[in-house]
Amino acid sequence: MNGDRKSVLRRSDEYAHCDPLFDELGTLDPDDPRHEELRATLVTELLPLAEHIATRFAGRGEPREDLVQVARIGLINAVDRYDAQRGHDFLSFAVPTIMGEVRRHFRDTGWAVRVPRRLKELHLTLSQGIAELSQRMGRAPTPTELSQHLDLDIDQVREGLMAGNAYQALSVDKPVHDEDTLSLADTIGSDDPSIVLVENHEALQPLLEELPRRERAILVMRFFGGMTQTQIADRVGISQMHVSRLLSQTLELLRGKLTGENS
Amino acid sequence: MEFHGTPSHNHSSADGVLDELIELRLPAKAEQIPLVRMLTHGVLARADFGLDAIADAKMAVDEACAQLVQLADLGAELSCRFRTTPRGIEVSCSTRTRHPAPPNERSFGWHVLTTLAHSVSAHHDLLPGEPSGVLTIDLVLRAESSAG
Repeated sequence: MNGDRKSVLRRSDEYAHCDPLFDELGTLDPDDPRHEELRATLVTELLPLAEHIATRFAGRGEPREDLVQVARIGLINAVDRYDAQRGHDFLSFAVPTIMGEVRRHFRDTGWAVRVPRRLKELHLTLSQGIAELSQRMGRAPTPTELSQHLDLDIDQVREGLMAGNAYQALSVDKPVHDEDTLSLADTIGSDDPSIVLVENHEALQPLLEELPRRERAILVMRFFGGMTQTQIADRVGISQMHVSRLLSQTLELLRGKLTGENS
Repeated sequence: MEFHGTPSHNHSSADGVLDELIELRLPAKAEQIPLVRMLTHGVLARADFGLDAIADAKMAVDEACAQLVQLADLGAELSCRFRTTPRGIEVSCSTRTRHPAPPNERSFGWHVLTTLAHSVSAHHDLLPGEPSGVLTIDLVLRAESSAG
């Protein structure tokens, strides 16, 4: 990571001309047409940075063009969130932001088994379709709705959704705290009354406390908060499929530990 | 392992025409459960359930099978039957076990089942002249997610 950052920063002179633009951007009202113009200029000027970072992650099984797209999204986020007045230079802010975006992409698109490229792409299309429709309808779409929205054959949609089963589960050795935007206190009180209704809650409670907080929050929202997976996905800022995977995993983990204690 | 996807010949049902049975039989072992998940996914996607409902159903069937597998006799078979009815999709999972009682309805596992499925019930039927019986968990799954 440090090495990565250094080698990108060595080229920082290439982007020195962006600094005054950022200074100007900071003084403008977001509704000012000049703001949009500057933002577009900055993103365009900085595109090579995204490409450069994407290249560092190439050769790990993800198509390069996908990585470049993801890095560009990271770049746009970085341009939008950067505050020149805080005194950091843009690159030292942007590089970790963009890398974080690419890493998240790897984590979210890691496959447990080798899946044909066509299916991976189909899965990506479906994920985007699911996100759009969920947003629009406020609930998860059905396969038929997805096929209509994406203009795909229904059997193709079913096949693609099934291929999602081969999606790599988030394993315990991967970082789980990097999206820690969720305050647990927002989602549960430690003595949620409906947990108490569960007979083995004394055994359950300490196991819940051992869980990474995102996993625990998701579990509690689904099983003690009456939220749907789509609602949880929206709240936590991950996809419904990701929520589904995390929930299944957490249940399996708890199942193993709870029965271990009972027997 | 056997796989049946044929229309049922269940004469007791008045809705016999609608009543298609899909059944998966497999060894009652934890490592086989992912196969049931896949079938659940396939059946529910075909029935055009919402994606939340499909994901919930997979977890519910997973949980039911995991509970059964824990109690199953050595070498027993796990049977999972899916039937489309006017109430929704009924899933019936069963296995042979010497364990005489259905699962504890106040356990966390049962709470998971009741949260994810529209309705859940369990029964244990003794096999005549044998120490074992058949433990069955019945789930009814609905196209809309069970939360909210």
